[in-house]
Amino acid sequence: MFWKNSKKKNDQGPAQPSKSMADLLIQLETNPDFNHFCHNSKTLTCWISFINTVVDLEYIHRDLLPALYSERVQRMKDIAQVVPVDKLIETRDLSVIQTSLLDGCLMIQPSKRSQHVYLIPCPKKQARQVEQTEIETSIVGAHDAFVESLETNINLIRSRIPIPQFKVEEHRIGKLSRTRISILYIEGLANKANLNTTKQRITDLETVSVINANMLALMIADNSWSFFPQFIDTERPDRVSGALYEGKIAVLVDGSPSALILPSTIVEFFSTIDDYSLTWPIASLYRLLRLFAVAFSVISSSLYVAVLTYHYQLVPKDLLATLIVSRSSVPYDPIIEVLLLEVMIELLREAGARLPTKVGQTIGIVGGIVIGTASVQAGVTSNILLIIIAMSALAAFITPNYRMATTIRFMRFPFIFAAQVFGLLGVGLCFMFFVCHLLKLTSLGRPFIEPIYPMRVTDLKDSFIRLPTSAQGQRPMFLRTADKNRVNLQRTTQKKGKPKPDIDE
Amino acid sequence: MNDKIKPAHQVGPVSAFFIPQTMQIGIGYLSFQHVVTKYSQQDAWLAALISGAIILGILWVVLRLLENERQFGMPDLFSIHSRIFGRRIGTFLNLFTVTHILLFTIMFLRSYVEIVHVWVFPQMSTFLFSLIFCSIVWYIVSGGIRTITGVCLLSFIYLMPLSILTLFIVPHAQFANLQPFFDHSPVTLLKSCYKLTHEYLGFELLLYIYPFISHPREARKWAFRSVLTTIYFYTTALILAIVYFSQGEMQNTIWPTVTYWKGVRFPLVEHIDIIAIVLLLWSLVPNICLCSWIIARAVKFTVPKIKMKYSLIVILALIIAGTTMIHSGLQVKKINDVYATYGALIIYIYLPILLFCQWIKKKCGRGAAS
Repeated sequence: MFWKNSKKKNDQGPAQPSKSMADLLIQLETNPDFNHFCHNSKTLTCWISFINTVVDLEYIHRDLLPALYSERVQRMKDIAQVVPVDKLIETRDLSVIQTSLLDGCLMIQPSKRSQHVYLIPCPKKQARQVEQTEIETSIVGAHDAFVESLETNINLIRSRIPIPQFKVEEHRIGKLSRTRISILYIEGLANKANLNTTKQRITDLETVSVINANMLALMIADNSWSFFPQFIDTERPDRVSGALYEGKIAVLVDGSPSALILPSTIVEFFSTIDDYSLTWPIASLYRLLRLFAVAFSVISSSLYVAVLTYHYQLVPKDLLATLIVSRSSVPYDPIIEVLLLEVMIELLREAGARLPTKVGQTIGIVGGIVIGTASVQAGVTSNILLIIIAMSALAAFITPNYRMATTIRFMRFPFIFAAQVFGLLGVGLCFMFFVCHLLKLTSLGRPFIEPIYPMRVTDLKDSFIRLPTSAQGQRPMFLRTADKNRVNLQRTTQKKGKPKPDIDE
Repeated sequence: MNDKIKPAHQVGPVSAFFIPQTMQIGIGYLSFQHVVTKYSQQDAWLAALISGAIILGILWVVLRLLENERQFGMPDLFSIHSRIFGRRIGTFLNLFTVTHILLFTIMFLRSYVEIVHVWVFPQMSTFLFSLIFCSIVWYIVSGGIRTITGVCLLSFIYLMPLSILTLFIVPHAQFANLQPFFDHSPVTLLKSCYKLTHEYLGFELLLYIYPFISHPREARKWAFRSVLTTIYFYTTALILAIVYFSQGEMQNTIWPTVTYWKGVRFPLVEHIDIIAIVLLLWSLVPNICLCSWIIARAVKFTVPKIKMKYSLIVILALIIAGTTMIHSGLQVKKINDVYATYGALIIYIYLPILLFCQWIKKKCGRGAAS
């Protein structure tokens, strides 16, 4: 947590900045991909340098160099008029020169060691095409997903928010990596305090590098000891733009195909974009189904342990017979049995995630069918437990957010151990601990389980249930947006007209 | 201690509903029918109503005390004591009232353990359970009053199913048990009322948390609503118990509520009583949290140097020690009686006297000024 407390400004450049132009060039010349050559023509002599792995070579050879070599360039000053670029930087600042060169600029110097240079940006970004969503798939919603390029990602969002109030702020974070991080928000909507907290947390980071957005989310989280993710990460541009319209803040990291949405509440981790395409009762039912799935996934195996170890009175007589038959050949206590299967499922899951897709499928079949059936037939586990564990594994991945799903997968283990120690009482105590932990958690200083505590009844309209759009006239209270209303409430009431006095009148 | 509470540490006015509510309905809910019907058999529900009306009056006294104090600084009992009686006697009186709260936590925790011993785990270690429980309490209280209020709210939500559960006994009810109506003398009714004090105690904790509640005008309304809700819960529970058990059976049933939970059956689970007892953890936790927070505040008020986060550990250790020292069910019963008498002394006698003292002080102060 040292990074959190230290208030140092992160403005010293990369490690060991070069002292002079000569030093910089010497440092760079050792690299084989650094081009540094003298251009001699009748009218102009200049030194051109660039790093050919980060610049667009085709653009340089086709457009820049022919223009530069043409006879119209008499002096250095003519470059601006002749070369077809929109932005030409003239500078003497060595740190600017260094970062621009490394970012993909072409540098033109009048002499070999001159510090007065012209920089022409011609970066080449290797990036994927915009592809289908893979983690958060949607059935009827949009299908484009973020890619690794910051520009493409901002483009995807900006095309959905075509207003001048949409702001993009860029920061460079990471002592060595100087990763570009963009903070996106709609001015006049996003809460100022939230925005300042976000900016402060990001600029105050003391870190060497920021590899991706999820790593950043962990670094700027309110409580870094908690194992609940505190900010939503998404690969869907439509979800991000929806959040921005709601008054939230989005953070994009260059080189990372996911965006962070700040602040978040826990119920948002269980909502999907499809909820907004279905009619509201169906969407609400799906949300409640997810809630049930989470509860089932966390508690089922620990309940099995607790009930079979201590509280067999709870089981109805008829079911008890089935349980006894199924467990009679199992030589262990319920906890050993449960841990065995849980660990097996975890192994399968991890193996399936790490292996290539085709092999992963085989693993699934081998694991699910062969090992499962074999372990029951061998008398190591009971049939009923196999059903419970499989169902709870399934239920855990109903959670739309992957990071939350892994947390929920993990949460069952403390419950299982607590159930072994104190039976149902242990499950109760463990549940209490988790709930109180959530109660104390904040996301960007805002309460994490917001519509429940602090109790805001109006925010329940889009949490466990989703009310129809006509009831969603106001933005969530918890964001404290500058503009409370989504719609002009006066006009909507006017349009509705007078209430009807009675049926058929 | 600071004179002003920061708005960031304040809670909304609705918490004046949830806090007294969760404090009042506790472990007593399981057994009070047995105690109350001893004196005024089938008319006990009348006693619940009368007692509730008296409690509403006391609540008025409490709120009056606090509102009168607002102009002199912090509206809580510690400030009232030290302003009216001076620092030294004030500290003694604080000790007097806080001891009751400490007794409350120990009584509550030990009674819960007793119920677990009888109904779920006869062999469970009291020490181990209270240690684990108190560490969770420490974790919650270190989050401050807002987290504690959150726990109170969640407790209210989680305990709702239990009150719905009581509806399952309606088909088995014998409404003739309620007759004859009004068959008891006022003295026996008052005796029952006195026994009910134990159940209604807890609302007086408003005396300590009041400065942390924003919008006091609304909060006062919510406080009255909370006591009304408690009256409703107790009266219905009493009526249901009277129509479900015969008077003879009632006198032999120590925990009537648990006994009728036991009768509820669902296709997938039996023995709802065990689940309900586990769920009652949620009635236990806000009580212990708020009480240990109040005691830690009292320590801080007396010796401002001691930080609450350190004194809290000592207080929780005291609670664990006190809980472990009580061994038998009889001792639990005795400590319950001591707590009820002590509490009755505080709310029925001490608080009205305090209001009177405050009035005298005001008159004297005005006399001295003019």
